[in-house]
Amino acid sequence: MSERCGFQSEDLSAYLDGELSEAEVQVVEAHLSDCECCRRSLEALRRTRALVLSLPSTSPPPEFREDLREALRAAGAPKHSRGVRSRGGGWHRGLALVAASILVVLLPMAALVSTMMVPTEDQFPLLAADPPPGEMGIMETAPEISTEEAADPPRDVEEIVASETYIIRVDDVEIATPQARSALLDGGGEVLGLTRTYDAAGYLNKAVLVGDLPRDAILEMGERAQQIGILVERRREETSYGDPGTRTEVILSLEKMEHVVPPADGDELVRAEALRRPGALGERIRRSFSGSWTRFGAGVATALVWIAGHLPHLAFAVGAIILVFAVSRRGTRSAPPKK
Amino acid sequence: MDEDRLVALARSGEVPAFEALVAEYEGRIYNMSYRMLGNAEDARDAAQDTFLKAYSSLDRFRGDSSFSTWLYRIAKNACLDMLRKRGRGTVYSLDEPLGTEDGEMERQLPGDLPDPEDAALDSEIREAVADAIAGLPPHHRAIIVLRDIEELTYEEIAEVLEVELGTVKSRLYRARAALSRSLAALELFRDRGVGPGERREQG
Ligand SMILES: [Zn+2]
Repeated sequence: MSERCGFQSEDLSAYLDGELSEAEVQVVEAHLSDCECCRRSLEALRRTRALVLSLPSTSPPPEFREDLREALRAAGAPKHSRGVRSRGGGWHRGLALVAASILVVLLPMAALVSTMMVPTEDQFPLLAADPPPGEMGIMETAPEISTEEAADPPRDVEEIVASETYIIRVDDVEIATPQARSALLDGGGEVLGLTRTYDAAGYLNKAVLVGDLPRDAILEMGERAQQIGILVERRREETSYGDPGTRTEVILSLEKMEHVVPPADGDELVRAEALRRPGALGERIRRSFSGSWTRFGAGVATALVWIAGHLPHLAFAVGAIILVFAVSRRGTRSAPPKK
Repeated sequence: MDEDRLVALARSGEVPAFEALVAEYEGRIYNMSYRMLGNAEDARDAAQDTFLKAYSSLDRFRGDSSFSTWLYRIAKNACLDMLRKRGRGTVYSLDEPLGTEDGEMERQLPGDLPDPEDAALDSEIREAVADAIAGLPPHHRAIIVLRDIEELTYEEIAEVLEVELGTVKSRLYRARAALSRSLAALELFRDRGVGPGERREQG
């Protein structure tokens, strides 16, 4: 009864949706006319679709818009700017001026300093420090982004909407690494981190590149990955809802063809490098490296990067505190006790 | 006022313009969330998140897709996020090649579903359909909702889901096949189904 005719069933579904070209429609219809099996499949698809279509439309509750308005307000939607009415004279006015000038002068300076403080490749021996034996063999599996972190994405990092992991078997990891790097660069991507794993004898047996690609460029990544070695697995994971229109994180895990299993006592070296890109850097390092030492190094780096990235804010905060202080002093002064 | 202008105004910080956009889309976004998440409370939260997120990232909307596609994309992500927070979010491997353990996918789809045009659908059936959708993996749910509830074209779906057109086609087929099987498995439909014997035309 169920004879397999080998017809592309996807086309039946697309036929139903009117999403086939005229030529394709003709092919489908010709086939349907003498294939009972496909006629039945089409009917099942049609009913399934009709059942979904028959679901009533639901509407948001009446308070929806008011709640949203509240939430927007709480989130700091711009309102009419209040403006600080500072008409009084005296020292507090001077202090306000000082505060203002701190904001004006310090901000650009801080911004400048923060760009200078962005770690460069040379500064990363910090992370590349060899971990002590003990916590090893951790990099035996490809680093994965845990779902807990994904559930609560950090807001100040350029957000990644999805993550794709490619596991590629290669003959020589050393040779494959630059190939993988250029596969990312060719797609308009960036390389953000690289982890190398060595076996007991000191041979490189694995490298994990973490980078990203514009989301459109991900389409060809599979092809590029196949040019590096044998693509054994490709996984996609939606990681967070972020800026729609940004980039997809790409993890390229290059594994030596006969993967050497590290000894149980773990005499394996893990070296990590991280490259450019200030904002994302600390976060990426934190997310993609495991193991207590690398985690410690990454923590330090994250803190540094954070401080560097937030210098302008810190300066702003200092200025604002002084300003508030000045204004409040003025307030207490201008209401003298009546006695 | 046309949408582009509203979007431009909203981007420049005009809250009323944004509210006009909300008024235009809240129904669709809410309904989509409802069908993705299966309950009113989560749907409301996801829809709220969607508009908040849209507001805060308006300056990054570059207009290379339409505003509605962009908004659907945020909504889809908000729903997936919500599912993840609810703890049902396992990592699903997507679009693996057609095939099961025994080598080939079951090609035969069930023939015993009620014909919605024949039978007036009662609320019990509707509920069963909604539950069956909610029982699909999130990415199957998303594509069915975008196509059959929101009625987006394949091209729009490709933009919302950030996948190729071919993937839309194959994923939608898989999602429908999975849905038809889970519907056919419901007791409710057994006696109502149109059996294979009742075929009409013969070629
Ligand atoms: Zn056939």
